[in-house]
Amino acid sequence: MFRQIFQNIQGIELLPTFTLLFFFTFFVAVFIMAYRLDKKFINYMGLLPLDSDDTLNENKSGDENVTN
Amino acid sequence: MSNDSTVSVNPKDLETFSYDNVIVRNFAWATIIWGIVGFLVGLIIAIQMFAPAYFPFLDVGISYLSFGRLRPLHTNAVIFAFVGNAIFMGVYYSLPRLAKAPMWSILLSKLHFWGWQLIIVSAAVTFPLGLTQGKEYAELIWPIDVAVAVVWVIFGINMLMTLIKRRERHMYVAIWFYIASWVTVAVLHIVNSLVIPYSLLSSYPIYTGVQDALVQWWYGHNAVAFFLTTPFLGLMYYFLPKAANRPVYSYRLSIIHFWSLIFLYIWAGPHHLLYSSTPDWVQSLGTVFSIMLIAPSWGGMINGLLTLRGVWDKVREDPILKFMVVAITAYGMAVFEGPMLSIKSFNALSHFTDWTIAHVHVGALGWNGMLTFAILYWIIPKMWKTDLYSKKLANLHFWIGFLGILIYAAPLYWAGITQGLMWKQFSPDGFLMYRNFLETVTHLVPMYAIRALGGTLFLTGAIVMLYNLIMTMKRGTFMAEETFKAPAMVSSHNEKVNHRWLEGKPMPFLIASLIVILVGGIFEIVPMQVIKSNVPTITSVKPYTPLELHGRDIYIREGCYLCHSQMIRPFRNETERYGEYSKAGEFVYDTPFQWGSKRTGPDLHRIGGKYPHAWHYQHMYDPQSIAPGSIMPRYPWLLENSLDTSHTSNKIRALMTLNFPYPHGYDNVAYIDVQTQAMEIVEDLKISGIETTYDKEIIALIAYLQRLGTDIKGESKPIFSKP
Repeated sequence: MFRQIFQNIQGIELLPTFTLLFFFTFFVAVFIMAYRLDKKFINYMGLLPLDSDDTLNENKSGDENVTN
Repeated sequence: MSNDSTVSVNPKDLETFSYDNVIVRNFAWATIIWGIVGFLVGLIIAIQMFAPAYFPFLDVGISYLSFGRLRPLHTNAVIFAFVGNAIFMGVYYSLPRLAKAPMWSILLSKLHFWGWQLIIVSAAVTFPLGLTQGKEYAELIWPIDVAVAVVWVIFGINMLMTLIKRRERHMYVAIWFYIASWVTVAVLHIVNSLVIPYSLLSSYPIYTGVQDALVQWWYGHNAVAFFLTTPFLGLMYYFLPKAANRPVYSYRLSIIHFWSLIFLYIWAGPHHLLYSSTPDWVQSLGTVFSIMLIAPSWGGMINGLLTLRGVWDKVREDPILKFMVVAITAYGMAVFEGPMLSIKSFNALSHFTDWTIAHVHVGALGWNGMLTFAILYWIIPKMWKTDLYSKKLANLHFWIGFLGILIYAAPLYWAGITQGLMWKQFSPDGFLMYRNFLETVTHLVPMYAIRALGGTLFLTGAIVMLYNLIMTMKRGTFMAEETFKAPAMVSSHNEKVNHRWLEGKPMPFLIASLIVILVGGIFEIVPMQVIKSNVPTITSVKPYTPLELHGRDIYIREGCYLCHSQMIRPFRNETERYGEYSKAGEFVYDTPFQWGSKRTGPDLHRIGGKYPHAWHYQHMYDPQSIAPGSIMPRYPWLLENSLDTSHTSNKIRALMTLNFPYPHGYDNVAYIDVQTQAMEIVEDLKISGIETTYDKEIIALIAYLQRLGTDIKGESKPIFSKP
């Protein structure tokens, strides 16, 4: 299938230009999506690694400690 | 934490679960040990590059220790053993904690660990034996490649199932990098490893010449991207906030960073093939996307560095943050330099020189090395419930490691630029100023010696770290498991179908990442494989004779491609020095392609017929006797070893399945031609006063070298016996 598609492309050398435009569109879409994200959600996500072992935890021998 | 994404939970509803630290500890040990091994082998081959000039007695002529066999051991040890284990260490620590769930299967974790170590040990055994596929960073022989694929799938299943069973609804950006890296490496590994085995340990790639080059550098470039970079960016996004105790500077920027980076990276492979025999449109594609890569890469770097805003005073005191700052800065430098080297005019000077080696080591030692050290210094005291044994020693490690990188890279930048300029230098009369390639090499030998000093410092730093970490372990108590409590995941019915939905679903996320990376692959690779006009045929180009094929396999076994290119670029200085520039159609029967990426010695594409057989015989025995000052190692075993012809038929048969135009049934009579052609070379050597027998490996290698680049001159007329 690809053979037919690609062999029928007139001027394959335009591929870099086409792909540049393709990426630009993709980039703009991602940018808009990221910009429109809720601020509270962004804050929550940013804190995830710090939150991840905030929970009271205990090691195998049972003594409790709080990390971070 | 108060926000819309948390749900208030009754303490009774909290679920109790444990994180497995044993697997993290095992990968940490593997990282440290293989790291030291990888650096040590690097140091040995660095010494080999100046030893023939200063300490010729060190060139002992042992095949297992020759540069061409140890170099793949070094690169593979550093990439797949050191960095690979560091990735797994970081993932097995961070993923469960971010997902608030233990790894799905301890058994799969163990299989992953031991499988990966077994692969590394197999590599350490096979490379010195000369068992290689002859493609950079993809040298592992096909049975080991199969094992890599199996272990990689085990890792993927464990990771994805952990995510499916997680308690935290949202997947943090580090996890996106892990998922994208996993799926891309799987695709790259499988596509580049497609081969036709002709024996239990050996094979030929299904691609030839230009196509093979393109697939290989699509793989090679993206191995850097999706093995050395994106997983480490994931680790950066987790461990940097941990070490600095503050969230990442901009989570929005990390989203843009992720999607743009994985989209762009996959296209940039052809920048490794500028001015080569690949079509212009492919080269332009590589350049355009490489330059665009600066934006997301620097976005990531800035995001990392700005995470430290307000805590720069801590950087002065905390060695972990120091390592991280240097790592992120090295990343920023390497990802700026990479696109610059992808600009054709830069590349014309830098390519094939030590500049490339300096560039990759800024990335490997600076970015991967320093970030790994930082994570180890952070993770070990944490798991052993203690403080680091000695901050002073960690600081010492930082400074000697940092100096080691500088002393490593600076002389190689100097060497690269010097040699690149010397190659291009013409006298006022229009002749090459340095016609003898060797002149440009002897100039660099002091630089190679200084580089080895840099490597020694870096290795010493790692040994200091080993001591510091062992002492840390001794003073603490290892927590094999850490028990946590968290509520079960609750799904929100108000979730919109947008990014927040996507990053909450591991499988759709994996598929989305796969589509993004496949787009680049399809537009870049498929046209090259299917459009005939990409490789104009040359009627005088014929397949190798069986003896030449054996010789070519010896060339690959000894890793000749690591120091010699077979690609004469269309520059006047190259055509003056080597002859007619290389054409795409000349490589249609080259599998694997042997264009190389570095010229420590001269290009060999037109070596055929340049010197008599006796010259090659003597040169392989003792290069210095023919070219005083040469730093090429000796290959005395080629004169002793008998040629293994037991696979002659299988080799021809394998190539016939790739439509190489050998006569029908030729696989059954090829052995006759091996002997006939070998006898002709032996007779010729006899005239020059050299007595040898037709069954020696050197004869096959001479046959191959004498064939190189001669087809388009119409000089070679290989005769294939009729079956």
